[in-house]
Amino acid sequence: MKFTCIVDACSFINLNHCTIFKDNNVLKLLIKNTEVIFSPTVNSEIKNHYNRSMPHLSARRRYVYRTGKCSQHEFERRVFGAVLRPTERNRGERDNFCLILDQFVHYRKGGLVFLTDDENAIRGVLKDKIDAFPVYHLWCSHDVIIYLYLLKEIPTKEYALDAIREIDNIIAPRNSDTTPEKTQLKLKRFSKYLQNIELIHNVIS
Amino acid sequence: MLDILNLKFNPFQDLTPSLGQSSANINWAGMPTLKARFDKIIQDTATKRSRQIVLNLGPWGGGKTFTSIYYYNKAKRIGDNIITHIYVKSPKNDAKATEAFFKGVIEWLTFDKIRNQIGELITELGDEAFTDYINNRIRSKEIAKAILLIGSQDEATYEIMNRYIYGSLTKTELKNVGLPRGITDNSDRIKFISGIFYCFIGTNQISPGKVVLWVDEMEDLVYFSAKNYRTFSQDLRDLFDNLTQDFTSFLNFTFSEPEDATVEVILGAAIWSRITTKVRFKELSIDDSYTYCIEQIQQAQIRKRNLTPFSEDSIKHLLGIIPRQNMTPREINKKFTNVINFALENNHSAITKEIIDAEIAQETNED
Repeated sequence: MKFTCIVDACSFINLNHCTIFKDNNVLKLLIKNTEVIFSPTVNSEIKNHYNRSMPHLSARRRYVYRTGKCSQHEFERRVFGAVLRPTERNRGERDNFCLILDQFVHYRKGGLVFLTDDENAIRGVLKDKIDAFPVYHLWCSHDVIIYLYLLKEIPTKEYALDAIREIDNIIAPRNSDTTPEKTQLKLKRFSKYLQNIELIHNVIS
Repeated sequence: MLDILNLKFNPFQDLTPSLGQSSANINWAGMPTLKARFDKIIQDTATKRSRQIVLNLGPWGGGKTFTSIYYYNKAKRIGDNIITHIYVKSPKNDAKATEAFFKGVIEWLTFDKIRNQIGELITELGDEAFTDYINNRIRSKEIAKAILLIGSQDEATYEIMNRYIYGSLTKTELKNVGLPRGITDNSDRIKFISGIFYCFIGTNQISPGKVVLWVDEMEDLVYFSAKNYRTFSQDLRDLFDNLTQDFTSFLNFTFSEPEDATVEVILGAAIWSRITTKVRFKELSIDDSYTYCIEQIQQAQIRKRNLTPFSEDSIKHLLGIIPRQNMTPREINKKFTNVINFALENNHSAITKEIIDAEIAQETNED
């Protein structure tokens, strides 16, 4: 059974930029190993980030899914209490959230993954809602790497560690806002994923 | 102004002292076991012909940078040995990390100091023996010759070699000084730094010295890409491997939960494999914190009278406010400095529990 991975724009872009070996990026491996889908809103958001090679619109079209139980607007109204304006903040994450609920409620799909690197959305607009439906996994891009390592699509522990390092620096690079506190948080997160990789290494080797 | 509190200076100044600061007020307080370990490492640097690579691990504010500054000021000469301390921060631009590290070392030492040191050795050894001395250690005749030229007293050569370091010489200029090429890659940079360090190490007979390299903020390697951290780690390893004796390097790594496995991956296997000693800076225990405060106060008192402006009670009261997991010298310094400033602003000559509570209340209201 393949997981169905509902991907938000920033994760789609981050994973596309995270190269593991040769020209194989993490996004390609994710597409190969899961069913990647996202809402039309996310598709538009991806379009606005063509700063590096990105799967073209025509190639992306097959990942775009609409809600089936009711219209997107109706879903937005039911989950968030109002129909979202096109420029509404975190609209991509919210529409993706409606999409994942629809995948379960309408299609009774299992193996659902809600993939986002936007912690602000999880702590903000999705707060109180994200835990209300215990029917999916919540992943960030780091978890994709862990999953691909578990599948042995990322062949070695060293490649997995390098990929974690890469994705971490794509998501949170050094910039003018970098503080000792942020560096400590980054180290802690890195340490956590390192432990996970070690554990998986013990299981799969 | 501080005399009202019976203090010559604020012993809890909450900023890491700068390297240029007068050493008069840089005092070690508390943490006797840690100090004993560093004293031994520095003593071994001076007395043994060994290479030590020391990893200093600990939380933010735990005293690692302070330790660099303390020994930079206090251990400039031991016996006949002059100790040359070099302090650099870990590079921030990972794509050109070795280049930045190289520049940091040269800028710290300064070109004139390097030139004088080389000149001194050339005077004693002569050109040929000097070149052999460097070449035998770094295995590069070209770079040994370049280092020889840096010691030249000829002003035109001086000007050219100053630019040589930064790789900005034309082919004609290189030809004029008899060098086949400039410093072109990281391997050259590491050999060059190694050669310069050997000039400061000298020989047993001539300018005997030791080199102590402090590299601060090594945790920043977590921001390096997979490719670049590996390159930098290997370059540092090559530097350490070139310096087989009379050399100590301290690598400061800030991590509140220092797991060896994580630090190893962040630094890279190349550096990790060369570490000879690990020193852990831990959060202070209540007793250690108390000793730290008493020793700091006593070093700053004008009249050695009890613990004025503090008392045993007021110190313990203020320490009790700091969460146990944050009990580091920096956090203690911050809290004590706030209270000292509050006492000064309100013309108090003693710091009591009541004054501490008033300061905390004011701080809370401001929040």
